[in-house]
Amino acid sequence: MQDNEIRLTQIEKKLDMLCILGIGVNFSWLSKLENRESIYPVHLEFSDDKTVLFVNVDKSKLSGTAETLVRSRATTVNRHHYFSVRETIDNSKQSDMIFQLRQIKSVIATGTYISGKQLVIPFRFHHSVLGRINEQLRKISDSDITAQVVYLGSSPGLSYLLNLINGSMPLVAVSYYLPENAFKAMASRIPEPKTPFVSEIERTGASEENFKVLIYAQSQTNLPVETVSEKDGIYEMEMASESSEINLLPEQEDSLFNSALLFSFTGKRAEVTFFVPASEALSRLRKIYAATREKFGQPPVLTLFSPIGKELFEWL
Amino acid sequence: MLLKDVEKRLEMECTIAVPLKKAMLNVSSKYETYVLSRLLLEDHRTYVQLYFLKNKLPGSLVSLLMASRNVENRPGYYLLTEEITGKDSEKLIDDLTGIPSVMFSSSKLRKSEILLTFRFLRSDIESVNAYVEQLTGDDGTAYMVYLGPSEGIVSMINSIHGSNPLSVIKFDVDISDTPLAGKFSREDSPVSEADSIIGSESGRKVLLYTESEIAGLENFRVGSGTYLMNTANHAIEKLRLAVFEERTPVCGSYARYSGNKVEATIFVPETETDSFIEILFRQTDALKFQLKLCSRFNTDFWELI
Repeated sequence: MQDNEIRLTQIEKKLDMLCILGIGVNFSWLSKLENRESIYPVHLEFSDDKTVLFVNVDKSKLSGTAETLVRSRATTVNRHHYFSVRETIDNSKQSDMIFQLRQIKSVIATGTYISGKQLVIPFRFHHSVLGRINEQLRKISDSDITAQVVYLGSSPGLSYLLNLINGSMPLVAVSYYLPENAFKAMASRIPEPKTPFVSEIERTGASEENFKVLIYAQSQTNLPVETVSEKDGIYEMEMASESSEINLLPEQEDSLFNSALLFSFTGKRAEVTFFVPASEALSRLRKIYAATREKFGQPPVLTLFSPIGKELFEWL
Repeated sequence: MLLKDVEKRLEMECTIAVPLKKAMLNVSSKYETYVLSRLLLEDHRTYVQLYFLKNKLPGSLVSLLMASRNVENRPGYYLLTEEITGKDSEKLIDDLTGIPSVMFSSSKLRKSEILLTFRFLRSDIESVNAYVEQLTGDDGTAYMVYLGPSEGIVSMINSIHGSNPLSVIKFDVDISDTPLAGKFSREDSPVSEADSIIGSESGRKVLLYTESEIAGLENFRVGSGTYLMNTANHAIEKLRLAVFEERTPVCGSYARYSGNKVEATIFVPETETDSFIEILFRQTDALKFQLKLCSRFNTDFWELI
């Protein structure tokens, strides 16, 4: 660990609150699968008129009949150990509420899943936006919306939510730092003082190619950001997918579940950390090598490739 | 210093899966445990030798092993020797061993592949990375299983002991005729670690971990208080070769330097204790060796070695 590196343990509870929202869903094929206790990790795309989700079903947990049922759906994509089934929530009021929640500063969804007849969305956020969260949650009283607040309170942290997904979809944490020339190119665009920071980057939605970037900085930064909390060092900015900074990062469109990419800048190094289903980890790594070589003529430097677990989070 | 004080000196660890040449162990698909093994480098070929301890084997595996041509039936174990697939794997292992701090530490059989774990200094991460990209393929060659913080020597040995009960053997070696004689006092006694899973005629890799920097060893320095040495002593080298020729499995080989002697600590499977002691006493330099401890391993020993 370098001196000025920011550890995951230092930032994972910066967003100190968590709201777990349960949205009623009724996908008939899903309720026909035998194991109704299961958690199905979901990748959720946010848009204001309809919510698109990809429901991931572990192939090894399916019986022959169930597999045929899932495989035969028109929107099923075969992904290594999983079937990823595209579904939509067409209730526009419901979608709008989810979308509006997600628009609030500092709100980020981590580890979305379906359990029983509920789409469970854990939103992490900073306590300063609790009032705005409440404005949206009030909509639950609208009879057109089937939703419940499963939990609202202090956040157990990013690693807790990742561990939850890990229970049904084993995850691997991957970290690497950018090759020297890519780092220099990036560093030159970061204004002085080049304060070390960690950012959590998440694609906003399917249609808008924009990224929500949360920045946790040790001290004041001159990045073009909006302040979430000066005291806690949390800032936010939006970035377009074509921006050169975003270009430096691995592509997220293949993601099987909602989890931000972590990007840390120390002044000497820029390191990327992300979480990926174990069954896809090597193929994702290959893509990163190919893309980094193509963009910079040099490979990244891999520093971590590990199943996630308690010890790992203490080290990160 | 004790071994536990330097057990995480090599703070990083990488595990790679190396497919075996033949689908030799169909039954082993259910067999994921530490199978002691070591690599054998001979005539530019890399072999893996698997030690199946007899007292641990399911019957179905015994008959399968007996049917294999590459098996030697030893008193305590079956020794299976298989060449590692492809030139690439062989070169890879060779190249990785060439990185100063890389120490192959353990290996484990998983289905028809061997999981090889090596530890290394964080400062060598870029050198290790020169080989990482070729470990991301899906072409049936070696691939990456883990890269990250090392579990350290203590938990590695504890975990091997959990599936293959170990003995700890400790003996003193007189080194008064070597350059390291009298160099270290009892207080600052550095600890060394020898590669125990790679066997070859041509010597082995030894890393010396010291508390502070040692004057005169600058040329061997590979990291803070870490030096790459050849086998320190003629008598030890002869012992190593004898163990190598007898194919006795060794799961860890460490030593502490103090005054005119080296206190060596060796971990062997409990069933192989007698065989190791016999080799030790058979040495013509036997007078240089003084056996101090021979016991079933338990975790209390970490306070002693």
